[in-house]
Amino acid sequence: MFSILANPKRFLSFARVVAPVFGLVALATICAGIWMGLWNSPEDYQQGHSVRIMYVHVPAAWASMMAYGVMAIFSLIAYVWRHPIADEIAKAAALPGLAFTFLALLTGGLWGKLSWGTYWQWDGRMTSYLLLFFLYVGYLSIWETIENKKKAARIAGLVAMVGSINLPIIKFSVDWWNSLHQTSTISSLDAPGLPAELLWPLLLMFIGYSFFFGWVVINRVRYEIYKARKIRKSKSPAPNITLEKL
Amino acid sequence: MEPNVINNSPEQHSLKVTDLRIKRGSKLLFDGTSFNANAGDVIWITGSNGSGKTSLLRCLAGLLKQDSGTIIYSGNATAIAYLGHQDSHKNDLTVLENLEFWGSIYQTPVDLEKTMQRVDIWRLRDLKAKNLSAGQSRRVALARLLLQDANIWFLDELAAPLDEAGRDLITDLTSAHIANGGVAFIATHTIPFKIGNNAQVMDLGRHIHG
Amino acid sequence: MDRFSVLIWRDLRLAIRSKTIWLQSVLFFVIFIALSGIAMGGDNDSLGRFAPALIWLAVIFALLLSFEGLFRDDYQDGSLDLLKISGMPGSTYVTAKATAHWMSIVLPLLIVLPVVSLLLGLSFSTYAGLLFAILLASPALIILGSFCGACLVGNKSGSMLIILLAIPLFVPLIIFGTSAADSYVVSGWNAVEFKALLGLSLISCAIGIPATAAALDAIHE
Repeated sequence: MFSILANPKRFLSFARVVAPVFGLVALATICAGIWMGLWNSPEDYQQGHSVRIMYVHVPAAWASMMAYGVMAIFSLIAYVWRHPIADEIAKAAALPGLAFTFLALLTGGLWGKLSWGTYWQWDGRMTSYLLLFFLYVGYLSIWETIENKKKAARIAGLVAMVGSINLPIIKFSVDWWNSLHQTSTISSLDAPGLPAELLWPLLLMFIGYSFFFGWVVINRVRYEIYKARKIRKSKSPAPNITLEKL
Repeated sequence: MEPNVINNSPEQHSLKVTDLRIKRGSKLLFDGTSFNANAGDVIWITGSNGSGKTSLLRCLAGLLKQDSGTIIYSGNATAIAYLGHQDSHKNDLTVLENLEFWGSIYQTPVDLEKTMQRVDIWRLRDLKAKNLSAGQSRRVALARLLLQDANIWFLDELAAPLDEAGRDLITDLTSAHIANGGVAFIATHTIPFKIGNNAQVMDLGRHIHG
Repeated sequence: MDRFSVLIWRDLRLAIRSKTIWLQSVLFFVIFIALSGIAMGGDNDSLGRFAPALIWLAVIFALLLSFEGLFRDDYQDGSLDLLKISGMPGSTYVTAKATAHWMSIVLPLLIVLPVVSLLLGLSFSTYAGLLFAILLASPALIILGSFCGACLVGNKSGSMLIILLAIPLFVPLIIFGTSAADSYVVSGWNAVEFKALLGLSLISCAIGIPATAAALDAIHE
């Protein structure tokens, strides 16, 4: 599938069909998820209505990880097979990924304030997401500061791949670290067999976020392809070069 | 993208470029460029600033990836030498230390002292590189070029900081190099002159912005 | 001498002659610790408690400031091009540079570590634990920092971005490193932190050396 989409022309015709579908699915599922989460699910017996932050927070955290995964996989594809479209996809995934991470941190802080009384706890999850945030910012700053785009693509790809190896190590070390301090974590999610009326809005929101993410990525890549075409059209041809005897 | 092919045939050194395409940023510098260079050739590359002289040399030397096309070296392909705008000396090392370092990196049987005498820098050997004049520094870079014992030379704006005697030296060294079956590419701002029997000019023309 | 040792020898010679590299990080290290002592009110009890963390932070930042210059000179003066043409494998080059960097940065820091430990009133066993922890983590710190330096070589806003790229890579090392000092006092060599740091160093070298070489190769795009 990826090799078919490596051709910009085919990617554009694919995008023309898929982008609006993704956009509509995202809109529908997010609306449904919000309705279920806010009006059609029970409040927590301890946390009350504040538990509803979960329907924004948890899917955002999942989506931020998924976006990093997409970024790392397409970086690998771009690095090994030198597909320019794969580079564009990896680059396009970073900004929504950063936004999801920021949303997860923000809502996590609010939820933390409501349930623990502090905005920030150095617990495993929140620390991991803070570092994920740095990874995204670092990746994006490579694209921003390296002027030679071919070089930027190679370097950014390496940074994304090294980061993807680093993420499980971060997760492992902060979990170990947490086991020393015994700090509290948001535990309701770890409970096995989450009741269906909580699970459904969570899943719907996650599906909605994912399609929204897909919609953003496809449109950003589309824009980059159009931009590249414009430059190619306006370009003067290379001079004809021959050797002449002196 | 096809890789640069190394053909270790016993025949004489040559370089064959086919359908070369080099893009820098949004500017297409070369497209469908093909040419050959054979043993004994001196190829001058001329053209205004920004016409792609350095890009072409770097690409031929394997320092810049072409967008497409092939470059085939025949003969011993490890023996490529590139002398760019910079002299690449370490300021805090003496001339001798700098050259000894490159001698150990290249691991060729070339005699260091004789080479230094040939370009007339033996007397400067204990001077720190930061105390060299631009012309002297260029001569040290020439000594490094000779140490490499390469068959194909890529020289970029070589003569710029050199005086009359220095330019004659380059002519002598290049003549000797091609007489031994070497190839030399020389990028220059100035007017090319005849070295050997097979001097050729590749004019990259004027660069138009945009 | 082979190419690997020749390169190390050249870099060490340059480091000794120019002095800026190692002197800068040693000075930074000592100043950071001295200021920490003052900022914490000169209270020996709390200083002792936070000493491993303070020393780790000082080491990390002293190192972070050094990576911008690691490949900069070879890149700017064209030596990197010439080394590529000479056919030297990128991983050999990176390993030699990292080794020389370790000798000219980490070694001086370890030499002043006893003095700094005295300033903070560390017990001998805490000092020993800290020394082992820094020693075990140093290959990872150097090679991961080299990777970040290689990614941003020639970049105008390099030094700040190197810190940004390096922080997530360094966090696991900081976590295990700071707690290693306390664990050593309790369980000696068997402390799990030492195994973790050794493991992290091995993984970092296995991934970091080829990744750094690949990042330097991107110069030729």
